[in-house]
Amino acid sequence: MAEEVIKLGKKKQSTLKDEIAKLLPDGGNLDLCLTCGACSSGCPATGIRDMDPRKLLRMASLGMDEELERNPWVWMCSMCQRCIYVCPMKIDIPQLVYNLRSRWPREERPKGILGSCDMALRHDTCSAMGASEEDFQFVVEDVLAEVRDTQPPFKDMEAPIDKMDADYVLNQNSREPVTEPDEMVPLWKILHIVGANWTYASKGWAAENYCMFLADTDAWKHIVEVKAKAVDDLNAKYWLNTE
Amino acid sequence: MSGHGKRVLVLGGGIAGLYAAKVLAGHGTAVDLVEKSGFLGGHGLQYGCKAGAACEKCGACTVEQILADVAAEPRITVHLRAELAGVEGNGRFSATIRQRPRLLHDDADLAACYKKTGGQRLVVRGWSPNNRPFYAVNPGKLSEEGGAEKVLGLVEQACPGAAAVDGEEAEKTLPADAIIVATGFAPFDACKKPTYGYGKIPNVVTGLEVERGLRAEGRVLRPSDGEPPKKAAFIQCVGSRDIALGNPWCSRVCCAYALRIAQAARYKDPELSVTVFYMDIQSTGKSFPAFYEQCKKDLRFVRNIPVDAFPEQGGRVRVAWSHPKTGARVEEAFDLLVLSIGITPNPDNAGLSRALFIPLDADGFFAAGDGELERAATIRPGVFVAGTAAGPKSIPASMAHAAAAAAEALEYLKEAS
Amino acid sequence: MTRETVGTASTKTISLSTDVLVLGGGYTAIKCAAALSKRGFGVFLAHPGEDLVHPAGPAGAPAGDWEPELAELVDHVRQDKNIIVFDRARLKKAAGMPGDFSVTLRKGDADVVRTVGAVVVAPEFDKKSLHEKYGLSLSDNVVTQSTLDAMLEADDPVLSGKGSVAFVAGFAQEGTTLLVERVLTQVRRLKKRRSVDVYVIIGNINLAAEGLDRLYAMAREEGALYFKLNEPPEISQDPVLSLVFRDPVLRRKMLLEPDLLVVEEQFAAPEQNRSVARLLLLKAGPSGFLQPDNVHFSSVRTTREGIFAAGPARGYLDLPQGFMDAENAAMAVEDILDEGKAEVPAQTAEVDRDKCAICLTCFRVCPHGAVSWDDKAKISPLACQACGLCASECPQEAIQVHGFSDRELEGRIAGAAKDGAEAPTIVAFLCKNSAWPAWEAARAMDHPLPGGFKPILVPCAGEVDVDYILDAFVQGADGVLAAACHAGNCRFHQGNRYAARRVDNAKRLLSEAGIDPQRLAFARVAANMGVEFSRIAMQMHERLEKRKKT
Repeated sequence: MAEEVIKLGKKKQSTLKDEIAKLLPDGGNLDLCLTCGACSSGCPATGIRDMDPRKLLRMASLGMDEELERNPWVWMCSMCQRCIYVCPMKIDIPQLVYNLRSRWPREERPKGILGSCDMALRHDTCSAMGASEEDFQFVVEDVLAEVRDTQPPFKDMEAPIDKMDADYVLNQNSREPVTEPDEMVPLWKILHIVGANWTYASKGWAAENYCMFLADTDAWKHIVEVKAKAVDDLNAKYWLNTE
Repeated sequence: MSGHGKRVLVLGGGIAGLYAAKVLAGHGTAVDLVEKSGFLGGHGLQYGCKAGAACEKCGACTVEQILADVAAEPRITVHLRAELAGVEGNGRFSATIRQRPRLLHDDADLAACYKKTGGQRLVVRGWSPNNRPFYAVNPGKLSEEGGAEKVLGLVEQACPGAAAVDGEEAEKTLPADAIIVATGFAPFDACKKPTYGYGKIPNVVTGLEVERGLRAEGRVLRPSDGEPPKKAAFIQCVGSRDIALGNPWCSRVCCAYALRIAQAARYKDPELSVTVFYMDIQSTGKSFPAFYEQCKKDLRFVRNIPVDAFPEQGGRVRVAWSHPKTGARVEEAFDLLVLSIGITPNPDNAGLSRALFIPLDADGFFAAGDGELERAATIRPGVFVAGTAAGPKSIPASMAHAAAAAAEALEYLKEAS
Repeated sequence: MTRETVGTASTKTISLSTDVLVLGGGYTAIKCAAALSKRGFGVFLAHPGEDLVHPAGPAGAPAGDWEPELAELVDHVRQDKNIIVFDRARLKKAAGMPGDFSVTLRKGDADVVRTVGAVVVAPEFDKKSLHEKYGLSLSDNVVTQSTLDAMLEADDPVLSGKGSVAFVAGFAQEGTTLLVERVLTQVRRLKKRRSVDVYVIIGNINLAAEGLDRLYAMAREEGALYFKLNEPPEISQDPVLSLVFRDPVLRRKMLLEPDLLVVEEQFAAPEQNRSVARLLLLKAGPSGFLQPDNVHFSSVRTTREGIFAAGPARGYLDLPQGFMDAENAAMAVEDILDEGKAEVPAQTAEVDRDKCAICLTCFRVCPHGAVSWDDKAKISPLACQACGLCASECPQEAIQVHGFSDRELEGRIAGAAKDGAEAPTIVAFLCKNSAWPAWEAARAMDHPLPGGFKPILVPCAGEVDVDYILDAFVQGADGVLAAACHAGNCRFHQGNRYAARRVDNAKRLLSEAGIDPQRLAFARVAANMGVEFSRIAMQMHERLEKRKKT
């Protein structure tokens, strides 16, 4: 089969790249690429399905919007941000990826992420695994009791929930209370040893935010608002986000 | 001659300062040449010859020659371990120089001490026999807090009577009819690109280190075992063309030095394989096209800048990049990884700029005067800039700039008189 | 403007003309004339054009920014009484020596003869279209960079119909910063006019010059697209203008059908250079520039004293660099002409008029054009650099270099070769500019040197006569080393080539005489490479030791 040739044509009035650039400070530097390839060299997803960050940006620059809008590579990107970290021109490729994700019809986005976001939206805990306030409280109290009983140096350790006026509100990925409860303990111990005045919030305690990965901006915003409100309601000074 | 009876202060004893001083002295001008370190010669004197069968035009040998000329020139007074503290006057200046305590010593005594205490690096020597003095008590150690007393104590212990301090740090005033700023550059600190592992992985080195090795050993060697590499890689533009670091400029010398070093090493060991990771190859000079053509035959060029380096068994360095044909991540191990670091502004520039009332440009180098065409004069009459103090330059370009600064200074002296 | 002379014992003072010929009618030449006049020299400014400064402006430069400064300079030069401008004039003939050149200018139908003390060659680049190298013919939609400049200047309505413009550059020549600056400037001017898609298909983006990184950043922000290719694009003009190439970033084949294709031009060494080099006896460098690519020729020096090359005459230099050259050339002229007199050594190289057969070998070999003749050869003390090439090539041995005469050298060779060291005696002829300082460095750095090592200083390895080499063996040397600089590094242009050839000849003679030619070695070493010098000397020592034992 003969190789498909890309014909460079007259650019459309408002291309995807231009639209995205408008949203970003300094236009995300999207026009500054030196094609040095540092982004691709450092990218864990480079080369998957013949795509890499440098190519993605080049396609955007060429106005190849249609090909980009249906390219599944944006979902293979882990959004680790390494491309912008190593880019000598600080080009905001992660934002390009986010915006491309957001252009997918919601129902066609990857099912795992979509389901997790929807689950989080259904609960005030924001848990992508659907864990409730009660589930969380039970697990925390159960694990804490065991540590206090079996580990004398931590017999006075606390893991409060909804304590007012604490310095810090801590949150926690649902994976821990649901599948690996003991993994919560090391952080409690650190906070205990340094004498931090902290608490969990029963609402919005789940740290993960799949709506961000889903590039569902409204849902992402909602999740953040729920969590921020919980911190405000408890009159805490700081929000310790573990994600 | 136009410069008779005049006195010019030249700040900086690298190639630009040396050449400006030489030209001025050749026109009858008395020159005070002020150098911050313990030796004249600057970076250029530390570079090795990169000739294979033929000269490759790096200009390192000319630094040696110019230094010899300056050393033999009675009109030039050299002030080592001295810095500009302030300038007064307009048109005719009075410059205050901060002179670190001078050391009384005899080169022969210190030579003996150098041999005796080699490993301790209490005594160091210049890169060239034209460094006068050739031996010095390690200026690096002397500048450390409380260093002078300690180091001199150790020297005294090992080699009694070899060196003594002559007085305190002192300020002295030098009259100057004109000033040439030739304070050079700072090599980019490769630690600022942490993913390359510089400073942690022994066989990740900078171009400057390879140059110094070439000068001292005549060969390119791996630091880990002192053996010549069989497979080497160069990464270009490390610290240059990088707005994330605040260094948007092309350093203008790294492509040429990397390719010259690669070819010089291959001349000695034709089996050596060299990979050059680059974004653009910068041509320099009339013979470059032919040289580059030869390089394309002898070296592997990869138009992709790697960002990761990992240590491997046997001192090798694994480098990762994106394959040009597929985009996929490829990894390959090299015996030696050379980071082609660039030219950055001397950190002293800000202070000097304030002392001299001449501005820096947006990149932090000294700005030339008002006119777009101006390169050597500054906005302040009587103050001129030469060499890499005003931006990245090769040795020949620094010399041309220094000559132009000297020419304009002489012109200024004539008009002022 | 010639002044009178006095003499002293070891030097003599000669009088010189304080007029200077400047060749060229562009900004570099004009700046040169101004700088010389400022220093009190009379200037003849000769150029082939109708009027000073051809309208296209300086090389690749955004002429607009510099215009006021340049216009002022041109006005100043036109009014300067010290500067006489010859329009429509070419150099026709030149003779003489620094301080006293006789130059003939062809102006229209007439010859003008002038005496000048120095010559500065400073013409502008020739811009040559490279469309033929792409196999293209120029047409309505395929134009040169100069044509585009003219269209932009005239605000040509044809441009308005061009919705997409492509540039091809860096495939028909190795790119230079001048080329890239010109392309980027044109891209920006196109983008500024109106909405147009601009594509730049290029080999390398050469940015190694002042301000080019910023120019490139602005040109990118304004939205032109850059394809950096290792192979040139396939371009077809029929039936439609199209470019096909593989984009290494997309890894895909691309097709571009621009409304206008702009083909790169070369900034070529000025055409005049060739005739000027011939007439002024200059050894031209690569690509037709008037300066060898040799690091010792800084910055405006040519192979001849009193003749200087500034700006485009000597290399790929932009206008600000050309202006620095202009200052440097004026200073260099002042260096030799000063106030119309110069103190020169009474003897540099001297011709024995009884021996001279006027075969003119010296005239041919002298890299500095220092030799002329009346009934015998004459050497200009101002032009002579005392390298000794003529002395060693002269078949009559009629020339002696002061301080390095045959008699002096014979004495030194005898002293060195006869030294009764236990180690093999190596008589080493060391070039003053390379091997000698390398040897000094080796000593200072405590690098090992052979016990029987006997260095003899020579002004240039090219001064080493075959006789010296043979003499050293006759006098008892175990080995002889002649050490020069690397090819392309000789301060006297090509002395090292003569040295290499003579060592080869000497080896042949040794073989014929039944002497092991391995006892003679030729080496190249740079002034800053003491460690290499030590290695070379020790290797030779070991070879001779081994030989002695067997």
